[in-house]
Amino acid sequence: MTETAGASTPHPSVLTREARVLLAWMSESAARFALAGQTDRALSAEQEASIGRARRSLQARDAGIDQHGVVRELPDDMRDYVAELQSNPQAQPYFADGYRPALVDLPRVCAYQPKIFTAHAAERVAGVEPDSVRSLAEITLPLGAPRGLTPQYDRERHAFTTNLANPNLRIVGAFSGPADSAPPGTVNLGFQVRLVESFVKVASTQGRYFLLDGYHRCLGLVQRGVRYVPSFVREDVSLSTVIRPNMLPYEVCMGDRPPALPDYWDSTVSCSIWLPATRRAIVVQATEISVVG
Amino acid sequence: MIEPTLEQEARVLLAWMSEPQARAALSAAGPHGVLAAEQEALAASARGRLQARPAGVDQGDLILPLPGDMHDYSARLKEDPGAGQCFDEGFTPALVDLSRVCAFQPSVHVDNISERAKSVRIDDVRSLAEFTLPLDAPPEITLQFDHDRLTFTTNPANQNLHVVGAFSYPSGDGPPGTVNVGFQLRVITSYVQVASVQGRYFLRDGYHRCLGLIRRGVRYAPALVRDDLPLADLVPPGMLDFTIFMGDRPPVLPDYWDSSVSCSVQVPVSRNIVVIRASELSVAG
Repeated sequence: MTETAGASTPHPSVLTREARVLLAWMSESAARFALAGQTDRALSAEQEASIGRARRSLQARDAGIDQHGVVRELPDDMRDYVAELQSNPQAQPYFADGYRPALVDLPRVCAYQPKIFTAHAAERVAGVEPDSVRSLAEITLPLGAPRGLTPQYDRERHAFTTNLANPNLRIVGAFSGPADSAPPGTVNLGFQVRLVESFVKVASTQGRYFLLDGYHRCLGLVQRGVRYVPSFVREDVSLSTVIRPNMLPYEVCMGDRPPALPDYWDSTVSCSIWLPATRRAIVVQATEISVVG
Repeated sequence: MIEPTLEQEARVLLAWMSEPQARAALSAAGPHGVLAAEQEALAASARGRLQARPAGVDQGDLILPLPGDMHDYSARLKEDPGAGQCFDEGFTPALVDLSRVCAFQPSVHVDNISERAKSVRIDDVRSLAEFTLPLDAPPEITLQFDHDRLTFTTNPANQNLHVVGAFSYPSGDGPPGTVNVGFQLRVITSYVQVASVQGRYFLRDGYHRCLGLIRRGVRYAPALVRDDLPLADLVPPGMLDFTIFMGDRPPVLPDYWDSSVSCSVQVPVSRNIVVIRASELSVAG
């Protein structure tokens, strides 16, 4: 297998991470932007050529994707694990939303994210036993306690900052009310912040199954040759769950030759690029303002 | 159509202000504006009248103890969470001769000043104390929450609404790992406070009320008093220059009403709001 796309090299002054991009499925402008490392740099001749090569490789494929039997029931010996999952506060919203735990055949699940950071994907699943459903579930549907957060407080700026490399850091609620054990008239105002547990989620829309969450882990598992893994599964989600801003367009996702998870690793249609590394930050700030009027 | 800006009357200590402060006070264009000839003359006249005064300020017997029948009021004040904090910082209640207390605030809003002081019985120390050292419960804070922008905004009704604390702790009502992050807000009760720096007593807080009392002819009024407060704790930014208020001819409270050294100006009405906002950001790194 030859590398179709010329991988861009890391920019010396920017912290970057390796990502795999679905070059053959991206629009011309999105492909060029990705290959340029999300900058306006001009592409090399090799990079220019790689876009066309990836597209031709894709068009040479047979049309259609067979997802028959892509979802299977979990084995009976996973009942206790499912019961634990049902009592897990982080997993409960998914049960409430109609998801159920099942096995999914990762190589035949479609994808809609044009690029996935792949750094540490292999390390993340290195300890998994591919033949053990329970071991796989501990990676894809984890039950562990989430990591604690310690917001940093800047007294001068009245600002709390929580800064993690994990994209699942979220604001999950807001609250206000009288402050107990404070002088009368004092109110507490604030937000709830949590590192939201990420579960592998697969859902179908218009009869086609897509991976909604857990791309990083799943690419690691696909790279290790794993097929069926435990996942949250739901049928018939709204199309807007899959077709979202900055994702692959509808015509691609629902077309004749949609990308499936192994395609990220297939260098005839995808390639490695170096993208600026990003961290997730949550800032909760109070500002006293004097307004005229 | 541009709405007219709401304005209110303020008294400014023209004779003690720097040139930029005077321009900012008198000119609609702010500190970089040009004063009209009449305004230039007014400022020059005020400075001339100040220089014609004898140097020095007599603050002998400025502070007197509260009468014995105010002990119960003082005790209640000490128990009050807001005033109690002032006690903890070394302030004690006493009577202060307002007419000889020095000032450092270049301007004071005077709208409704007479209304506010009207109900005070000026020969009754307790009535004065209820005005200068109030024991009322603080008003409730009303809020708006913008769900889309993750923003709390307070009702802009009170100048003394402030962020008084910050907290982050594990949430008791969310899934494990949830952290509550936020702030404490309170309308801070304003007490008339007088403090000395280098032997000179200044009004630290309560300018609006004290000017109302002076206008009604009050001399001694209850206040929280402390000696030797660090300058940084006494004088906030944007006040008169240090060399002016510590100089030979510092302004005293009645000077705000003395039109030979001060004047009235119209200034925009301003109100305090507190905004508490949460943002989710993707940052490089």
